[in-house]
Amino acid sequence: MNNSDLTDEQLTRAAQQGDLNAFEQLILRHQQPLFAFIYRMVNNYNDAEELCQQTLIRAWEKIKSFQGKSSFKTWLFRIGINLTLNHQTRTRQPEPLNELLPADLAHQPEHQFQKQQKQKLISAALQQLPADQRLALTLIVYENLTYKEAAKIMGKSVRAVDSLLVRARARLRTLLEPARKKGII
Amino acid sequence: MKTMKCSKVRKNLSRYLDNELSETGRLAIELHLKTCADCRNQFAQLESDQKLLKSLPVPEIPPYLNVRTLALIRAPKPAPALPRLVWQTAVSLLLLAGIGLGILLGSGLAQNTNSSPELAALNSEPSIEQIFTLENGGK
Repeated sequence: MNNSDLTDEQLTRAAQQGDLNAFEQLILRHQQPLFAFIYRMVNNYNDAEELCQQTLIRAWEKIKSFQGKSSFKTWLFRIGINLTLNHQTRTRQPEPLNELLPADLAHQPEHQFQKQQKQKLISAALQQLPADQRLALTLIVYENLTYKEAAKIMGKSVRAVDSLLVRARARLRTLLEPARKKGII
Repeated sequence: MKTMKCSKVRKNLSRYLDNELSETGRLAIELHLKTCADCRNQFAQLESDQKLLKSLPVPEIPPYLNVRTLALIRAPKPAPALPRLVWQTAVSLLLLAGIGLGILLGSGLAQNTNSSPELAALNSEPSIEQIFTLENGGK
């Protein structure tokens, strides 16, 4: 049977026996969502790449301790979250949002430029959120997880995740208000 | 029919947006939104922000990330470094041994200096007589 036909559980068991090919299959399945998730948390391509690699290497090193109480993806994301949050406490402050606002939109003729500007603003606004609010929002909006799944990954209660999301959305609205007034978004 | 209070509805709009309410909860919110323009407006704002967030492109994965990661996993690991305490103790002991040896040698040298007239002569300035004797070929 080809590795690509196996389930995550079967691949994980094989990887726990030292089968690196099985682990490679797990990497192929989960590297894209993992990278996208980390990138949205750190908003920096190189940092996201490094953190993604570190997460995968750590997962291989710790695969024997994986007990199968959650899915492999949940376990992998937890490793990624821990590394990402540690990284963020050590690194710089996010770029202030008002510095990204163009002085006058009328002088920004290119549609593409405006689109990029808009995306940059939204990403920057996400970075302004406290880490736990950003994490909850990223898991729900981009990973399409349920509150229960997000709570499990974050090691919090469903109620706490709900509360984080309410606060994140209120804060995001306030942060984007100047851009909205300028008609950028 | 009396609908939910606005405060309760607003508390639950985020969960409604994420489809996290029970069927009864969802219907109660929908009923309220039909009759309350303020709450409808609040919900429209939430939906609009959600759309903005979703409009961000999916970041492209770096090329060959899996290959490079596997190469790192396969690469031979460097020998584990000695624990800090071990090498700190070793350095301290070496330093102590060096100091001890220095003291021993120093005291030995001092004794030798006192006991050997040749060394004493080497270490002291030659007298005028000695210079004179040396210049005359030791005669």
